[in-house]
Amino acid sequence: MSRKKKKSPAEQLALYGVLVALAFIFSYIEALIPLPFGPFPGMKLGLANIVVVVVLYIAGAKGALAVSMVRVILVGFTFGNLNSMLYSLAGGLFSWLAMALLKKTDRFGVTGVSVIGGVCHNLGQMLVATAMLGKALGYYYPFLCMIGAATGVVIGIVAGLITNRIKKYV
Amino acid sequence: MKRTKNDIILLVVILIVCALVSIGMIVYNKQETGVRVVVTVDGKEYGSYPLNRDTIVEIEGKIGINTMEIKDGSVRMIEAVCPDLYCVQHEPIHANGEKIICLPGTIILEIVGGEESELDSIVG
Repeated sequence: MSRKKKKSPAEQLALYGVLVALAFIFSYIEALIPLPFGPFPGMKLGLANIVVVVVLYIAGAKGALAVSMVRVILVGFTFGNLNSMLYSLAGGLFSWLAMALLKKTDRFGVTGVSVIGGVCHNLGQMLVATAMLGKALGYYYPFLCMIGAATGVVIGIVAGLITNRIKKYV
Repeated sequence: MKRTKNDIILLVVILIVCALVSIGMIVYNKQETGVRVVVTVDGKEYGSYPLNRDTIVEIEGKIGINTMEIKDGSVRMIEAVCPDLYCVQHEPIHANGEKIICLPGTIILEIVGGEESELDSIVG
């Protein structure tokens, strides 16, 4: 029978270090995969959110927020795109808030939580874009939210599988 | 199992709402054919150009100069100073309501239809 014992600060630091690094690498890999352009040049898979969702279920909302924000800032500074970082921060915050709240209701599974995360990530970015551009964005942005929901499903399934496997060890 | 059912309901509701909003906006815009492209920078109108005249326009955006081309009734961004160049990769637009956006440059190119204007083009 496994019993959860409190982690020492050193253990926590090591664990979160690994998690952030993993999320960071996911971001990098994702940037290497070209997605179809045409009308949607900004599409992303959101692979790093696999880590965020897993952390949400293993360490709770605070841990998930920490990993998410640190990852966004790290990626922003490493790849030198501050403008994009602003959008990622907004999307990440909105997404985290929605996921934490939805999880709290205890009425949805990992997949549902991840779906709302995906949609709210795009919503958050849309809000920032509207604020910065001074005008509403157009009909393909709701469509982008659909894509966000769809990738959310995949991310959620993967995160669920991972969470089940590593629960015992973390 | 109840959680899974709720997940599915959530997903379906989201997809339906997004689809409806998208379709609504498309239908609303397609009432008229595209006639001009309106360029907005930082929330203010920068200029308005007719689609039937091939032109190349330099737009002074927030971080530099983007270049827009109107050709054969379509609009595209051929040059930009933003790091990601999504606006340049975007396929050319020509239908009412379609837009090309450069987020870092805060530039929006939007196809607009409709009213006759006495002036051929307005440059702000």
